Amino acid sequence: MVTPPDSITMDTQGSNVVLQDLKLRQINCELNPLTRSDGSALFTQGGTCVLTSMLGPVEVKSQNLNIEKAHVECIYRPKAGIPTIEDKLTETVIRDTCESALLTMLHPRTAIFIQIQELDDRCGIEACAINGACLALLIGGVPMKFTIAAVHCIVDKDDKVVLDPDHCEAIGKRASFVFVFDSLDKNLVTVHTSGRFRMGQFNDAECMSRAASQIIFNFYRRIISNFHNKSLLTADSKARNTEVESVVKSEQMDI
Amino acid sequence: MAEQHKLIYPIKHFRDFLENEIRLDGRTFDKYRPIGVNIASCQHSLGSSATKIGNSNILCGIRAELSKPRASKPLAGYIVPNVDMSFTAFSKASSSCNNQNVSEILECFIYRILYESHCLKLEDLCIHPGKLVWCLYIDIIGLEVDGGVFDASVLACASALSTLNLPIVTYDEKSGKIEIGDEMKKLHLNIFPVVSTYSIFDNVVLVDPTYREESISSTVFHLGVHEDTIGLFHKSGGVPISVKEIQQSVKNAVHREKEITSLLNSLKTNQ
Repeated sequence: MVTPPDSITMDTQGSNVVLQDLKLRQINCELNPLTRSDGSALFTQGGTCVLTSMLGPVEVKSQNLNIEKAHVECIYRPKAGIPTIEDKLTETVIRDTCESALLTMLHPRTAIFIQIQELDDRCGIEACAINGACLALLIGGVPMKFTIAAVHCIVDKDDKVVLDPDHCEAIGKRASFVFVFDSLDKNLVTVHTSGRFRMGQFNDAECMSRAASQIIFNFYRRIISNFHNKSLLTADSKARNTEVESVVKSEQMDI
Repeated sequence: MAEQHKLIYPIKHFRDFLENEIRLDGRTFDKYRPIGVNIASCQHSLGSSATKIGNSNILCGIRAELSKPRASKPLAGYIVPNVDMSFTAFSKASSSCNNQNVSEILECFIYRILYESHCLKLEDLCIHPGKLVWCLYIDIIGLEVDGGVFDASVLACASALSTLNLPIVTYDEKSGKIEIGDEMKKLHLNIFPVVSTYSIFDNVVLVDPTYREESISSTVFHLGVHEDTIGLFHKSGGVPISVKEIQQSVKNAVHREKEITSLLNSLKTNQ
């Protein structure tokens, strides 16, 4: 059965936000745009866009075989040219982050591959890639301990902390942060910084990002439930269709 | 008997040690390993340093070449870090694929620490704007790695940079003639970068972990602190940590930074 691709737009202003300037760029996602992979997602955050796909659990090369857990591999491809050392670093960060979210011990002697293709980078590509990878893993149906949400944050040229800036706001930035939170206790899975900053700025950025991560978690929940409700609809016969639809509607009301 | 126990149940063995508030090598949780720095040890490089943290042994040498700057940045020189982890550096055969990865990440971080965290200005490497700049090749060789490879590499790199002597070069714009003088000039370092590594095992923060501790702990993170600013915070995956643990580590890292800077200062005055 081919499931219809699903796309959803989310208004980030409407969620339970305390701080006034807590705004992420608009998040859009299309699930399963690719047909050959186990799970894929086209994820955009503002102008930044990535295409992620995952494959697994599949057969593993003998050199990577681990008898206790699955081997996780990430491939990150930049928009143009061959991957540079910076891209390798991004790749390692994404790999480690995804591995800590996955329940790898459930699939020993296998491998899980995550592929990420950068489509457009208008600031915050790392955070976007991690979020996209998480959605691909969720759609791919591999067991996870928790979901992860990455938020990008900078200290701009006036020493102000800006949440999820676009490339215009990021000109002349002093420092940049990528925070990845888990969905359970909102603790830090990954922290990746560059540039020099004060501890106070770090705390501000961390608090803002933590609050903003809830927007992304809500987005995951909404898009995944929409996706599965829709596939439920197409799978059912016409006679039961109306019945299911009412169920779907009531569920959506709850959300 | 203890050896077999360690081999069969490595994690339980480690946990037994932690229950008695001691680590495998007899240190307490917040104790660092001894540091040894030997500066200007290589004759043929312009600045060099051999650094030891515990059993980790890292060598750093810097050579400089003259080159033409990029048209987009006519004032900026180049820094090219190059990390080589030799085959003897890692003990385990399983880490052979990891080997390449570690050196790539290190190269990336050393560039970031030096340039993005404003440790040195690339403009200081300029000889004549738009025509001639210095290109510094920072070669780091890992002779032995027993944890804290980040700390040791950054320390080696920074101490080599602080001893770096560049000859004074004059450039004649009309004839394009380059003249290398006999006098030497030191490169100015804005900040002496210090990175500290922490690992977490069963909610216990262990400072300066050894290779064994790093490999069985649930997460490892690196902190680069200078006075009240942070230049690097890198945690990649592992179990999630709370802000409390971060703050505790930052406090710890501030002390460590002071210790190492005073050590380096005493080294330089003795020279």
